[in-house]
Amino acid sequence: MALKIHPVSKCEFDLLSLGECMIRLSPPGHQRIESTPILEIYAGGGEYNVAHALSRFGLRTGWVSRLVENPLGHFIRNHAQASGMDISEVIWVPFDGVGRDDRIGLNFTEVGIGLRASAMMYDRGHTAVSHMKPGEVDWKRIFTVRKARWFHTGGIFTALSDNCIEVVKEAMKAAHEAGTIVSYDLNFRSRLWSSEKAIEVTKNLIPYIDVLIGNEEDFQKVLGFEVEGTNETLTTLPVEAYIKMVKRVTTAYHNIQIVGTTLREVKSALINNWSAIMYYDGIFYESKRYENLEIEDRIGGGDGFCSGMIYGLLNGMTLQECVEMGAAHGALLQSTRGDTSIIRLDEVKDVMNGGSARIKR
Amino acid sequence: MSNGLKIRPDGALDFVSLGALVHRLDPGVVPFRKATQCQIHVSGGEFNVAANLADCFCMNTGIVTAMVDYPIGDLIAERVRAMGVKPFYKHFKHNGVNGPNMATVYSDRGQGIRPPVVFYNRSNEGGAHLKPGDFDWDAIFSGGVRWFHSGGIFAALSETTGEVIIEGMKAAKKAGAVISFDLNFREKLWNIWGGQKKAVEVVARIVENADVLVGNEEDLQKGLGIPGPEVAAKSKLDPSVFLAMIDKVVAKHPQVKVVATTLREVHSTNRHSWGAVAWIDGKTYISPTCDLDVLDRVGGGDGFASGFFYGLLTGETPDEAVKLGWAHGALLTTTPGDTTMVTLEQVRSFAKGGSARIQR
Repeated sequence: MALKIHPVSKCEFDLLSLGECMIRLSPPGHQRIESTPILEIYAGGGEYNVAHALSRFGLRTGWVSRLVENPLGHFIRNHAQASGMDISEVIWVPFDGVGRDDRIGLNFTEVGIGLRASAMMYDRGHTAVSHMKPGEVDWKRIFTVRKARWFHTGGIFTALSDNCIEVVKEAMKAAHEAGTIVSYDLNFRSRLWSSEKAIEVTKNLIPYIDVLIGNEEDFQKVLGFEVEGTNETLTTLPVEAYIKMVKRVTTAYHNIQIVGTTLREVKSALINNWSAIMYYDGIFYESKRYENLEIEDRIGGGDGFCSGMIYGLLNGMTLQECVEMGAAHGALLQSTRGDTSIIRLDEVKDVMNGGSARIKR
Repeated sequence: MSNGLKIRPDGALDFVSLGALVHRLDPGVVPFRKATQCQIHVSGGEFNVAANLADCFCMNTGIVTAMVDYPIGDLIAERVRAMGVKPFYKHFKHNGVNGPNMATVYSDRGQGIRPPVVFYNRSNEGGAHLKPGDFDWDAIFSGGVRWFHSGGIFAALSETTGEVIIEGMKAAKKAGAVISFDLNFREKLWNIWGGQKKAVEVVARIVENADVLVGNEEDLQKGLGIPGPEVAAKSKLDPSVFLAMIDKVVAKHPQVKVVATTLREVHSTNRHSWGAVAWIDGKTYISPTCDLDVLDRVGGGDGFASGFFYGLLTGETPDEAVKLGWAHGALLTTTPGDTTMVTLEQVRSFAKGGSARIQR
């Protein structure tokens, strides 16, 4: 394994992540947003979910963001603290009493069923985190004094605002210069920015990336690489075409050492085929396939893969084990409701080693 | 203003508590014999003070305790982290059948004329297995500690837990911390092993190390063995019985500088009158009295202790410290569960005489 990761003893953090955490409001069961009398409350955000999961797995993680001093900010604080992650670098801003200046982002998410896909409605304008400014966080101190083995961020945070583009760049640069492994989840979100803008911005971030996470759509819309032969509804995925595209990406950008993605075939909202694939040094490692995976809530599955894979890489597992960890954790994460993982490490290891769902007693 | 305590101005931990963590099953207004569902609250008299100080009062706090590695332990540990309390655990492995366990407290809310009912399953509890030598106190206090707290519930768990309290108090004193003890006399817990005689003997040895005591007149009598009052109280809110006993407390334990308690008159399960009183270095401070519409009374006393300690730790006047404790304890009875859900702003506002007028 050739990723050069700082030793545990030299670093305060195994992983540090930068991104937004939103409040998610979901109708119980499969009710619709427009008619539900009850909303359940969860917390989550792509980059945050990775730090959250790894903290629960016993790693020393931290998360950097910008939060508002109000009960929603405190909800996220409590959620973060409960995982054990360090939030001492989070920037807190006062609440103006209205949300005109700085808000906590919301999303309304209904869990689909059968033919009806899960649907998410954002209410994430004017968020505190989108107003994060370059220079506001002392990245140099974080990466050279506190030190981190791994830094994770991604395309959702980058897409929040022009400020965030600058912040993500200074953070990735500081991490890269300190010899911290940098992973970036492309996570294209068409409602946040256009493909043209994503391609233009992300090009400048690529030199700092060691580990890239993205599916076929992300590579098309964020990096401008085409995968041949996918259909618009993603009911089938030609793995061969994806492999060819990853080869083109890693040939174009030599600093990218690992590329990982999940392969999801949507048979219905709650029945998917699920697996993962990871590239390193000319070789592709495919996880076992979870056929007809029964899903409770798909949100966060990709972050589940990402955190499982990073766990393996940070702990010196074999590359095959890393992709299996990612696939198994992503699969298990989708068996529970909410964006963040409430899965235990021993359950992941059990499933990746072929454990069944037979009741344990 | 003087409170007779020498409180260190700084330290990595403002407050460290020693005591058992429990999970409380709360079926609400339905009594257990007819219950079909329960909420799970994480609690522990000593822990609650550390949790309130961290979550509501933004202080750096820690809990020294036993943790059993099984799903109930995981649930409890997660809530401890969420409250922002730094854990120092002695870990126990669950054998999959009968423990060691994290204690279960069954506690409904009562309603109106029907009082809340509390009973325990504390069999083979991890916390009761704690003994002197289990914790590296020097390491726990290495960054500096300003205040150390424990209580009579933990002291009552087994023959060894009282000794752990004494060991922790002595180490904390050496580290320069103020030492407090909430007498919290629980007859049921003492009765299964030591009885009241043992209680008085153990508690007396613990209190030799304490600067600050929390406890009502019943705690002072049964826990500390101070003879009963010679004056008759006009009402439950009349502090004269409590105050009449202070001289005897201080005569027995001259190093004690502060004795404080809440005053509660229960009109019904949902309607209490609420006050607090403290004797601080020779002077008496009494809070205002208010009427409470109580949602869940459990944790009110710990709510008082945490607000009161916050006032003392931050150099508020003794009068203000009593008011902050009184206000926080009052607000704590308005939310479900044993630990705080209110903010410092709400506490200050109520302490100042704020009303329940909607804030918008």
